[in-house]
Amino acid sequence: MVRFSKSRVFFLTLPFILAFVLVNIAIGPVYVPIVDVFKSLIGMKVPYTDKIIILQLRLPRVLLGLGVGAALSVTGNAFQAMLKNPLADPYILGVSSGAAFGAILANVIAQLYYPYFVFYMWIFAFVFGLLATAITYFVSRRHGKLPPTELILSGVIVNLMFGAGVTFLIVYGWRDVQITSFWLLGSLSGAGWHDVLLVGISSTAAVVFFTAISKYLNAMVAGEEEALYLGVNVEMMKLLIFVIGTLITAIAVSTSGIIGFVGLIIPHISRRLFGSDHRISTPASAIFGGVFLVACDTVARSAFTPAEMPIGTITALIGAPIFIYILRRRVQNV
Amino acid sequence: MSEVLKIENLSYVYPKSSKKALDSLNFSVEKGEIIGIIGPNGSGKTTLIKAISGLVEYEGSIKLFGKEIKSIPRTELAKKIGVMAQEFSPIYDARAIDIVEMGRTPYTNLFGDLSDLDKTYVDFAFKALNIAHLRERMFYSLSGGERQIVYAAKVFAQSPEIFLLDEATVHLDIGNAQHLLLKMKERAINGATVIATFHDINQASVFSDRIIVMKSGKIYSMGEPEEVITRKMIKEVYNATCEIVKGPSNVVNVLMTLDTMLVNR
Repeated sequence: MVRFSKSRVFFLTLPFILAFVLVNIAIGPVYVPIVDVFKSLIGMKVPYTDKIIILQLRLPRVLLGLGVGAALSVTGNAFQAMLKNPLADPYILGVSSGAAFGAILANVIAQLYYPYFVFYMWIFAFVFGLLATAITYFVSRRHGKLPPTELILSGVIVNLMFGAGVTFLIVYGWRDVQITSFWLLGSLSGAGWHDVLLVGISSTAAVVFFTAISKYLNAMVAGEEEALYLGVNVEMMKLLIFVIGTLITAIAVSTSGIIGFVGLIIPHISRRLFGSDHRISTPASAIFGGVFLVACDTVARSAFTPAEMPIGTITALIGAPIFIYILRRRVQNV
Repeated sequence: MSEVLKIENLSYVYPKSSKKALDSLNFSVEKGEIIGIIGPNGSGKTTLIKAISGLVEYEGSIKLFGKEIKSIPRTELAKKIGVMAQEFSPIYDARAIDIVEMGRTPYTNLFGDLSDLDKTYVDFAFKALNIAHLRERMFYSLSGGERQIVYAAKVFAQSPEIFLLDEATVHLDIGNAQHLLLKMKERAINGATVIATFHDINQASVFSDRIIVMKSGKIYSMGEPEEVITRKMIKEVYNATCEIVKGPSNVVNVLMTLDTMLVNR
């Protein structure tokens, strides 16, 4: 499944991504000239307020968007091949809401009892993300297979359950219902450089890992038995994809809440454009996912000033119709 | 002739089942041989294929070139044994060439890059099956018969020493079935070993050097087609009444009858 000429396309996209990042930093409730953005990024002198906006507010936010978008997309892409189900993604499977529950649980424990628990946030997110996926998996399994409708139904239940858990914990812990929207609909606001570092490392690792196992993902697309016949250690692969995908998602969720549909629609679009070979569709998903989330975030923070729209609302408005489209024609050619 | 496969006391019980799906099977297969396996639904044909391909935790022994199948790493096994099932249905569409290249998975490096040798095998598979014109076509735009031939090309590209066919012709019309079986025969002439299960006794008869008849997980009989395909076997194994006729080149054929006079005889 190789068409190496396509890999060159990625290098050609780099300048566009850079330009895209500059534009997205410039746009916001306060407009910053693109020239100033460029100047401050290469360390030249710009007005102090602009410098703060660019380096402390918008740059980490854009970078976090790139990282989270990439993480969710490559995980979705791998889950879809692993489960032989083009509708699987961290959000649908309930990983995201389980992870959000875990992150908030750590926060509440930190708030009420042991302040240092805040450092365990992503570990809690990981554990509860695993739990949520496990529930969805075992509830929807029929004779060793995961029928799409059963998978979606169990995902919905798991999402509702952990979503309720999130609201309960927040109101219990802070007596404040406002914070729930950050977690349940996601937001890149409040992105700090430590978030960028954490997500940057985990997302890069995810892209490398999922690209490296492309050949196995390609074989798994035809079913577990076919993959076994081609010499793939399927059980080992499933466990690796499941655990690493959940870890990556948990880290993304603990910095930015539950952002839906990205992991579903981006891999779909990447495969449409570049074909179903995972060696191409994985890095393509990472790039598109990052760019898509940054664009959504720019709309979320600029279009409705002084208010800010939760980013999950934007991704859902775009993603839900595409989801319906895939569901209707999922029989083949997806 | 050298022994490729030796099966001794092979048994298997599905989890949560008390009935033996395979019950103390014993047989061996020579290099270049074509073995046809027939038997009614649920007689253990598919389970036997799964056992030989290393998919189930069997009891007893299956030796491939003298080595126990269980002890052979999956990638090594995939270089020796190629399996073709009833149909191939990937969730994503891809070009025929992408599907056939998948057959090289056990041989490629971590990144799945094809070497010149890999490409030679892929080209060979397309040529051998006369489907070079389908190379760039999308898999799901092909007819059912064409898809199965592309699937066969994938297994050809895998270049195994043993081909396991699990009712690979069951959805094919007579033209496509003939094409596939002829190509498999060619492989056998070139030294590959073929083990194939069949629903259609006549296909098994015309294709196989030797036939194994299975009933309730056991071997009912084994031998050359004209030895094992008898009215008595069809009655006892399939509970059906039929006439046996000898066709051209002495191939035995089974004719089903619905004549009540004959059925009740």
